[in-house]
Amino acid sequence: MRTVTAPKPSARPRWMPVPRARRRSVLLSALFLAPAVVSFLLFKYYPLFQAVYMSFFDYKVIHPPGRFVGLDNYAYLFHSTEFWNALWNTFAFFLIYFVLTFWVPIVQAILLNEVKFANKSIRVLYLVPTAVPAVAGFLLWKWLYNPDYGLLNYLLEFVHLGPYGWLNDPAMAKWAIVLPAFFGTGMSVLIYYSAIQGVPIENVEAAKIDGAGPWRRMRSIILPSMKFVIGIQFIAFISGVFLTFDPMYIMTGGGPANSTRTLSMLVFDSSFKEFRFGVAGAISFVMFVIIALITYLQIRLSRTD
Amino acid sequence: MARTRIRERGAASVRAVSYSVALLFIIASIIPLAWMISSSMKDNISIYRFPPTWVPTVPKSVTVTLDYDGTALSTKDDYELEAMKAIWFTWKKMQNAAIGSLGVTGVKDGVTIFKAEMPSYNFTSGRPQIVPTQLFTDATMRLKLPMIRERKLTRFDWIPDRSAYTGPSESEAELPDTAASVLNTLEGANYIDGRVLAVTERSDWTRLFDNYIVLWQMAGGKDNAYDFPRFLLNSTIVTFGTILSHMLIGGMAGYALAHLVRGRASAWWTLFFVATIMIPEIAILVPLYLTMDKLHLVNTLWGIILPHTAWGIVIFLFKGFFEQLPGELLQAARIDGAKEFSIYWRIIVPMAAPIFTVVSVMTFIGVWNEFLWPLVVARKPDVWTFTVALNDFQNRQSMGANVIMSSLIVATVPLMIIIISCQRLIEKGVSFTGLKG
Repeated sequence: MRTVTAPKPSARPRWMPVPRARRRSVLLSALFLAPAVVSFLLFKYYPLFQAVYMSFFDYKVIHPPGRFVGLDNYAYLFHSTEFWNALWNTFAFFLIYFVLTFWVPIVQAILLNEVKFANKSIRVLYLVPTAVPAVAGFLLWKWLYNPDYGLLNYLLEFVHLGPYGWLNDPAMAKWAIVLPAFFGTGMSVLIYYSAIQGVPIENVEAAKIDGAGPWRRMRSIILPSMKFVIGIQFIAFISGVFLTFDPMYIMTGGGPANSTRTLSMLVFDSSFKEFRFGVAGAISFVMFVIIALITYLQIRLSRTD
Repeated sequence: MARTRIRERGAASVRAVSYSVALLFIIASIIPLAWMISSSMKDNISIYRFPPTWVPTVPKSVTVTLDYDGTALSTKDDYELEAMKAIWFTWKKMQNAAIGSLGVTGVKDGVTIFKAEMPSYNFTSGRPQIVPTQLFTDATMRLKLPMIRERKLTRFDWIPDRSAYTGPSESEAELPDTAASVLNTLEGANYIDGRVLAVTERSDWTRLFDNYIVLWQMAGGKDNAYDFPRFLLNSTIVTFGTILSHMLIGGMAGYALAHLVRGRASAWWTLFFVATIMIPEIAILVPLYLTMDKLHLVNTLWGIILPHTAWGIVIFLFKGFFEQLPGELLQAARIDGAKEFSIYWRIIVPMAAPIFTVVSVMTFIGVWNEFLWPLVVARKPDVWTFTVALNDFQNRQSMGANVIMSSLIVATVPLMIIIISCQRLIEKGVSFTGLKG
């Protein structure tokens, strides 16, 4: 076929045979989509169903899937203190991340909008903490927290605080794990900042004429117009925090006294340390449900607004 | 004419607050970085000193002159053994002192017969193998000598032309600390035949970067769990492999969704891809590992790369971009008889350079930082990425905090370059993903 123009599907009456051009285009799309479809099926959908499937078995890697145990893995979870402890820790981390990090980039971005001098340089500098690979950042903070040789205790001594145990103190470890994120908000600042740039200048000018001062304009014009982005970011924030694994694994390994063992760490430990893949599948599925539920609620709530 | 400006109420306070908040955050983020750099330049001792210092002390190079008058040693090998004992055993005995490098000059009958020297990075990297214990005998050193030679840990220069020794013939009366303790150790030692003639000391700032050299030196060992350059290379391969796969697989799928598949089907397929963003990585971690195991991809770099080909966000971004491209152009190309694939390759790819760069930068940041998946699937040091290796480093006795800090800096540099130089692209990227979801 040389003179192909893609016909609109609706223009073709039902009784007519499918034109060759159309068939060819279906074949072509299949060819273009095939690698991605295979990869998504193999690396996303199949594992997801496998995780659910596994959770009903006393899964054995050597003779998969092992013995069918029905809901025993779930029953085991709901009776184990470890699971409830991890669930509680996950929620506690969620709250701490919310208190320490979520609002920070919003404030930074709104204030950055008022900065006229060296604005671009400041945006670059905000990105600097992000430029340290996450794992490296956690190790660096672990070194700063070191109770014997750490910089943080040394600096706090000048204002007569401490010395603190930081990561070694069960009451403090959660906060110590989250604190680095307080300073590493550069990417989110950029997201919010670019959202603020999209606020129509007319709205701001109109508010100015109506006599709203700069503080008032932030509250009444800029912040409300960021609502959509904040909502989107909040959804990302929820799932991000629920699945956080790296800082706990690297900085404390779940300790001290299990105070930083979250659900994601429990998945890792029960599968790759205890080799109880069935239980790990059950925890994974519970996490998936929790996140889906929260996201659904969040979307519903923001719709009704 | 005097220029007057109407000043708004509150403008001053807004400015003051905005600038000081920005400044505070910048300072707070610079301090840890500065501390990381400072720590990476400290020697094995001052790194564990409290209260800590901001400026690392410049390491000291100590040179010892040994006098062999009246000893029975004659061959080159005898003297080499002597020099190695003097350097390695002395250093091991004083491993809690900050030495930048230790040199030994051998003198017999007024002429220089050998010179040997070792910088501290070689001592640090060779210590676990050469002097694991405090057992200082000829036999142990004879056993280790081939290893020292093979890894070129200690320089040994035999001087056969017998030039007269012109260096100092006795130590200064007021020896600096490091030199004094070297002298002390050597005088109390029974493993060398020579007599200490003189000890000198000088500051050597080039030794400040020894912790970086240690990283490359350690790679020479038999144990590839220390091969930091290899870990960086693995990370680079994984990152660029992923970027390439996104260009190919994600780009083609995005193009198909935007221009080849029509109507309802396109929406459904888009949902098929984009919905996977909601699947948390940790939830599918275990089955994904088992899948990789079945495919025999555990402990391979492919095993790390391949799951990255399924990023919903990438296809979403490509589709969004390709939809903006004018359909007329593609129609014109089709009428001219171009094959679909060559349309993609000749027309779409060149026009899509902006989205390709944005996706590449975001992929780079994501994959370079990736920790959990490599931790699970790369169980042998051969295929570790640097993130897995760094986590392993922190649990090793043989790695001081100063060497770990230098490895952190080496791992930071590539990401820092990308982030600073691609700042505009990142802003573009976050506004795509942040606003459109």
